[in-house]
Amino acid sequence: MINKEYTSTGPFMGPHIREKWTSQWIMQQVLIALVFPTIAAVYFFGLWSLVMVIVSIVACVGLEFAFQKIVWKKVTITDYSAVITGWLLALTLPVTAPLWTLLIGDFIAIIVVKQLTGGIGRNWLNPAVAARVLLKLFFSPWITNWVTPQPDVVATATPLADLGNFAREVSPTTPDLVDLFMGFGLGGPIGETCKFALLLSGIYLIARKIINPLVPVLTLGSFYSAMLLYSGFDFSFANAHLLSGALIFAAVFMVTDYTTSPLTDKGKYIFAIGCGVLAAMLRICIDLPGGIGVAILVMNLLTPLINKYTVSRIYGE
Amino acid sequence: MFVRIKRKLGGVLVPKNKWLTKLESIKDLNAPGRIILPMNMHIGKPAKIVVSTGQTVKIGTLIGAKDGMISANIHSSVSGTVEKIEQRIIGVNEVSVVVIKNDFKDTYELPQASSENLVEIIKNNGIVGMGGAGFPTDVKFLLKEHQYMETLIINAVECEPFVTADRRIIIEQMNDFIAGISMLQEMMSIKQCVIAIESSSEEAIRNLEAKIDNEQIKLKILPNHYPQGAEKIVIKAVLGKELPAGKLPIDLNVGIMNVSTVFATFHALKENRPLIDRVVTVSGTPIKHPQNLRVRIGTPIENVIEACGGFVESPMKLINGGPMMGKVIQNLDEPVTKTTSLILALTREEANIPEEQNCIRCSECVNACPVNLQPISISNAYRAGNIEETKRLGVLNCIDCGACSYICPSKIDILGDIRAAKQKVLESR
Repeated sequence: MINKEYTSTGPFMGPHIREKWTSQWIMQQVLIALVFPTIAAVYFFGLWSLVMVIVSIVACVGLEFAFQKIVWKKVTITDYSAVITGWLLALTLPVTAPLWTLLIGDFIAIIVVKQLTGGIGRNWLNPAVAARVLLKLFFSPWITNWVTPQPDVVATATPLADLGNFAREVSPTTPDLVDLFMGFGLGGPIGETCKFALLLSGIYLIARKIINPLVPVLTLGSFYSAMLLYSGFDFSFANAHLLSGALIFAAVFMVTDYTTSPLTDKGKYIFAIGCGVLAAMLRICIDLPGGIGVAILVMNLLTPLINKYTVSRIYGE
Repeated sequence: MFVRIKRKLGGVLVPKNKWLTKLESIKDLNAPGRIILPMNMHIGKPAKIVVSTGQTVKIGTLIGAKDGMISANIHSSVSGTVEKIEQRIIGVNEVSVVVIKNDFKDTYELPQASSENLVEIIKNNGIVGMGGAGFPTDVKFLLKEHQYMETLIINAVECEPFVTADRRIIIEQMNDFIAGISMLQEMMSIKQCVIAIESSSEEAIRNLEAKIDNEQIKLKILPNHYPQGAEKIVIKAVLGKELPAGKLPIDLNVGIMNVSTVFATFHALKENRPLIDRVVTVSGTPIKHPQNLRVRIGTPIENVIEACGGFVESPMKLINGGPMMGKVIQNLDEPVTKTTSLILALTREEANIPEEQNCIRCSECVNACPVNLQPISISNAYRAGNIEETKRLGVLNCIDCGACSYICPSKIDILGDIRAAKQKVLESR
């Protein structure tokens, strides 16, 4: 006789095993990647940046929890997606933005954009991007009060102010490329000025296989190409544009968002190129800092259409 | 997202755990005191019982007769008396079974006088595809007038984790294997034979490379991932052609046979020997001595486990087949059938499926699907009650490999939904 008991348990049909990774693990990797720009934010803009990040995270998680309790839905705060949204949004604001603008942004992101459209995986706009763009539209004076990093906090413009408005060449006031890349003496949102930190985030996410490397590369590449074409192959102009504004931040963290980008690889590449080209057009034509945000929202809305036309041919059909 | 899967191929990288039994040479398992022969060991119509209770039978006596085109003969694998004929629930189906009490005399009886017609011999001996599907082999060789078999693919891929039966057979019975292939080649005047094998079968590949001197037999080494061994995927990997939806391999002038089936066919043709035993891998960490056993068809699984020293710990699941596509064994007196290549025990940790979470639309299932479906879209459509939409999304093209459910980080039972949707679509026809 067999020495040990056996009574069958679990589903009858396979697969009976599962890959070990979980959605939480994926989200944790994004959280780790967000640490790099946050360290840069604290370095350049002081500890208040950290306060902003923490407040925003707490607000987002709290809002999601409260909303799901109120409408009797399963509470999903343990999936870390609200944490990411809060963290991302905080990083897109300047250190001078009053906390209440941040909280309004959190509300728009979590309640309006995410929960009211069905919760995680169902929203068709990227919550952090949508909140950022709406804040920019309605609360502009408060959240575009750019300052240069410490110690001498003075009001300033972002480097983009010198580059927009149909300019075709770099103005003398544009910082040099090293400053733009490292974020020295740059005004702007706390998480977006240090491109070096964002590069580290991107490399981390690629190494962990969380994002498809071609997506940010195509976004930046198409943007750069469009800028080159527009300026008649003025490389310094295109370089300055590439390293200014929220472009790289968005390419690493937002264009790669799972929920609001297409399903197939081919679709994701079209989406990425669309974001890059649209962002370039918005910067050139209507001098819109944060143009990449609008570009992403437009492409988010086009995602169902892209999905429809990028369905892979089924085997044997 | 990149290395987790091999993008162009689809499919997933599954821990294969072949080391447990890879070096275990095949041992004969003594015949059990009783064998249980279900009449549905093949796809298609169950065989018709042609014995009655109390009747004396020998090894090779016909117990169930092929009933209709897609069906197969079933023979006794022991000598003795028919003890019971009854209905039993095996898996989810109620099926007629014949229980035969072994008298341990091992007397033989050859099936029906040998015929000149080779397809007839295969049919008489009850050969079916032993990889899992159980498609009657004679039907594969029954060609219509305009048809011919240009290529014969020997499917030695064994992409399911844990199973090592086929690679052991190749290693230990190399001469018969080659002879069997040559015999089939001659019989059907096949132009070329391709042995498709997974790159992890190093020893089998080495031996084959040293042995094959025949121009017409080629070796095709395929990547080590799942479900590389599925019929449709093998055909594409070997020939670069896709099997059109609803067609059989022969429509592409291709025959495809699993290793054990080649052996069974070879023995049927050479010795008029019916399919009465097969090699089964018994594996998994809860099994004391995982090994490869040659088992009489109809042997209760309890006897097989006992022969491997029993369990080290109580398994959460026993599976007939691999961890991806196998079916749960609900009772230890279920028998080994013609299609059982693996009996697998999984511990609680291995078989545990965490609670389902919301989809984050990571599209891993889309990347993993070897037939290019959008599994999550089908799942969503099914859950929304939209059966028409699942049909439009190609639910009937699903090959049930389960790569989507396996890879899903949110642990959604995508294949479960797809199976249910498929069922609904078929019902609505």
